[in-house]
Amino acid sequence: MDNSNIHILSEFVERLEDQVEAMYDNPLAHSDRAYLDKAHELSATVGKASAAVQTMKTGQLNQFADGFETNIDDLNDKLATLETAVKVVEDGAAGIQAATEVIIAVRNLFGIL
Amino acid sequence: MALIKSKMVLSTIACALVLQAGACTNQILPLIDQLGQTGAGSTKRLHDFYDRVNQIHSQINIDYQDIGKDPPDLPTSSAMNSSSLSVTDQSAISKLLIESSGEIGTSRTGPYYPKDVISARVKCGSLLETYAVKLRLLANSTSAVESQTAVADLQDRLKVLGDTVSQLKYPDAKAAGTQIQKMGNIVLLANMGAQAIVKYFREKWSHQVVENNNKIVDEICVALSDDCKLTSKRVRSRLSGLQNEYQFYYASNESKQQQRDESQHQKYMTELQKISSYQLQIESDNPSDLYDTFRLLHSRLFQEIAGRADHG
Repeated sequence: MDNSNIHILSEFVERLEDQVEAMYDNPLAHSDRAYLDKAHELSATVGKASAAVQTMKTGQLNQFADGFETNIDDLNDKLATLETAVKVVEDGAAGIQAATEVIIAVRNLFGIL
Repeated sequence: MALIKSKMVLSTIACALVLQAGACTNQILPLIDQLGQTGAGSTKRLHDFYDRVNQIHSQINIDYQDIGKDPPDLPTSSAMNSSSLSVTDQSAISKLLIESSGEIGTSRTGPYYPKDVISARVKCGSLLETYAVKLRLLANSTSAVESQTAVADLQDRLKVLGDTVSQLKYPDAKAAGTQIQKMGNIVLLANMGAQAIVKYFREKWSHQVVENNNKIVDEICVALSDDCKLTSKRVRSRLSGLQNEYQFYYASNESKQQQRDESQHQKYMTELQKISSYQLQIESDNPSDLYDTFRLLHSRLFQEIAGRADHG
């Protein structure tokens, strides 16, 4: 089942659920047993449709997860490489900090402390 | 002269980098930050929502038993297409049931939504959260920024010291000062080289990651948002059904005697209040808006990145 079709089916079932709510909201549902039973029957039928769409969605989501997991692994690889690059910058900075020792030596040499 | 030229080149490169970084900061980084904030904690919210819905469905079944009825509105009941539906809707449902291979993802005896149904949703939700949080990490690297600041500061200090030393009236002072100043330029060059690498990784990869994932993020967000809405509507419908049953039960001839009993009346009111609180809770716990927001932010991010690529 195509993903956009599952979306359309979801919207279809949502509309049916609104129909169920409308029946339950009807004052007849508070006083007429036969009417309430019909509302329950509609609710059970819509429940079936809802469960069917959600079953399809489970398959769809499992497929998405498989595809997305590969991309997340790729993202993790990229992050690991970035961390290495950041380390390069930090190591560079640490090396440069060592140059402060040169500054101190020069300051001492010329007596400008 | 060579030193002046070198300084001019460096300052031109630095300006270009600052301008580029500024463009990125204004448009793309805030969107990535918002996406990361939206995704953080979303898996737990999604998981809690389905757990709560299952608890409420179980409670609905127990409450039906308390008033001596079988839950009439379970999808596993024998109900066929309802006569309250239009012929078109009946036909669409029949087709839907055939296409879903007749498997119904809810249970009569166990939890309404079985473990595998919930885990498929939570897994996708968890991947979205991981994606958003790591994309944010990829696009923002504070340690590199801190290094850059530290190095830039050192470069400034070397320049000032070089000037000071050059002006001293000691033998070789001018030569020593020039050396110190050159050291400052080397510091700047080395730093810019490393920063350029990090910047390349941050921007190029962040953009590439967003482009690669745009379609699948869009589809997962639509699927999860739809599913949360359906789940919420189903439990609300069943709560409404139970509410009506209570009204019938307590209004029936058999219970009229009991109704005169204050404690029975109190119980009735408590049950109705419980149903109302469930309805309100489901409304507030439903994370469908979160996935709509996530989808919108990612789509805007993708458009920003595509727009930048179009304009070179």
